Amino acid sequence: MASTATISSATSPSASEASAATRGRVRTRTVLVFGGLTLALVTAVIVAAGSGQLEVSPSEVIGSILHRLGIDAGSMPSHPNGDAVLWDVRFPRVVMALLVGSALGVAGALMQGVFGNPLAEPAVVGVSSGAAVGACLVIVFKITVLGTFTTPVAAFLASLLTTLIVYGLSRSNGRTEVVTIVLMGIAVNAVSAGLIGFFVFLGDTQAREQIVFWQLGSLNGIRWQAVAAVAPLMAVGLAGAGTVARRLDLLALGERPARHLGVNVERLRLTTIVMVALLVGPAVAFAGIIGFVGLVVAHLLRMVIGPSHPTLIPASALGGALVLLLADLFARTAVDFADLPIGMLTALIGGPSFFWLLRRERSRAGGWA
Amino acid sequence: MSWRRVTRLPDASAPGDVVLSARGVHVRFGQVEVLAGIDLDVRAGEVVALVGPNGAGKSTLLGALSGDIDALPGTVTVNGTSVADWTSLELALRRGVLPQRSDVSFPFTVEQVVRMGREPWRNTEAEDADDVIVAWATESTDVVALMGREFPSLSGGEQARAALARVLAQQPGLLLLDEPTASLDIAHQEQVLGIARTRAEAGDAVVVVLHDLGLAAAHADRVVVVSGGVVVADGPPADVMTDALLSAVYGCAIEVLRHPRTGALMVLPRRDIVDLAESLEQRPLTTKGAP
Repeated sequence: MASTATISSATSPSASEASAATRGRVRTRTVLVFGGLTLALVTAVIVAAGSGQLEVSPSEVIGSILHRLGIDAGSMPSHPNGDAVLWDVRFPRVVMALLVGSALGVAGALMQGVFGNPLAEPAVVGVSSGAAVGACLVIVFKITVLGTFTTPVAAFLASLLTTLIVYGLSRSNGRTEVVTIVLMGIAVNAVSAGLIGFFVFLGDTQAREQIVFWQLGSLNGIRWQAVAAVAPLMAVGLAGAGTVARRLDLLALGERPARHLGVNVERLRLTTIVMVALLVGPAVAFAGIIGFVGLVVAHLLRMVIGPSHPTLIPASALGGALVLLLADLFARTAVDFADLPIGMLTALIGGPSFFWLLRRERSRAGGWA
Repeated sequence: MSWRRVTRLPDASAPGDVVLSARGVHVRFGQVEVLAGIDLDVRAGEVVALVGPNGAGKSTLLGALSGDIDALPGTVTVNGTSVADWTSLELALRRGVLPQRSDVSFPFTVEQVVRMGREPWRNTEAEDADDVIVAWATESTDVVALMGREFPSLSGGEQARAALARVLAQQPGLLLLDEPTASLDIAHQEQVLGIARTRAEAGDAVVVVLHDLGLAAAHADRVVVVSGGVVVADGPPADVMTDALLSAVYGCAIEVLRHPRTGALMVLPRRDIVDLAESLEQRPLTTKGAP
């Protein structure tokens, strides 16, 4: 009835070419980012494993790995203790850094997706400190019902509870305002700090030392046993993150539009929250509170490869692993005979980045909404 | 989503089939009864315009029809089945909803946003036609030139059209549009309602909330006037849109004229008369046609 033919579509061919070009550019960038991150990760693993008080050259590291794989190629470490140091000390720590880093990176991307807010992050909203409360609880009261899994499971349950509380209290209409989330973080961190203080007061000297270690975050003294304790939980979390990725894209439209596109929003939210807790809890249980990795990694990657979760989530896993591996390498080699707390490092770099993001968000939203 | 049972794909409706049916819809916000028992049927092949003054309950009614607002104790059925008996995916294959405002949390491109409309059809045969349908949806809403732009960076009118393209890409048999013309210029208003007409002629059922009575008169098959939480009139534009009814509903002197050349209905406020009671005395209520 109403004529629409008068609205010219003369611009469409060139415009669709432009759109195809944009898509092509994003795809190229995505391939470059994944390729670059993988290459950097492999290099960093070899360098990190070889670095320390006992230096092992990269070719000897590769030789040792090949040897363990049953391939007799390359040169074995020349130092008599070289092979043992690599496999008993360095590799567990490197693998833990990769696991914890990818867990934090993915948890950041997931939280930002489910909160609909680019500033959501486990440490900022207090989920990490909540997990630490769970870990401290079992340490102080010497609970060991689940053996080596006790601490990661307790941390998982505590971080799940914290995430649910934060999520339930800070959302309205499917979105979370910047101010709400920052204030929620302050409140949750304050309560967690109070509980941790209480546990410090209750605990004996050994427990106190362990608790102080959490607050700073460190991968010092990680052995294969610890890796084996966190790996299953994190594997479930990482795999689960992949399954919710597409639906998180739809959630960016808002809760109701997502529902009108067939998403069971309640189920999606709960699944995502459980995944976050599965990733953050065990990471905190063994590595302590390491903040800002999820925030910065997911945010930078989103700027480069776009916000689509099916690519953002795996990229955040790679990016988080790389950042944490490098941070840990720096932490243990920057000062001779000292292991700097890694949480302190990430906070020193991540804090200012968070500040910068806050400023950017503020100018974008036209003030604090 | 619904791995427990096989998703029921929609069958095509014949023109005149009741696609959406609401019975006894009540909505209460706190003490205020916003909708006080609304019955409404929408058939395949028709455009139904919901009009009424601010606060009459038009958007609330659309919210109840779309499931965003609880309609209890009333019932809403889509394609003859109560909404409670469809899964959210099955409803998404049948019912598309365009909200008044569309916000996107992250800088997704327009193309990504429009493609999200195809998501319910994943793993069905219709998935193969995704590219063709997305191209059609973006061309008919005039957003092709915006495809590579980030959705949050668009103007309000551009966002409204891109959001409509997403809903069209979903290809539902029932379209619920909440003020789709609110932030559009006159050309795009015509275009958007032209799309609604085209969809209805293709056999879809379209419900659209409108403020502009002239647009409603020109493009709708049926006009439903909502006032005070009830339906006060429901019928073809020429029957429903009378001086008396509109003046009473809007509390303002309104006259309905025929365009001298085309005969189309024109709805205008009587700016020469300040007092409503006086105007009703001066002009016979049923008068229609050019002065």
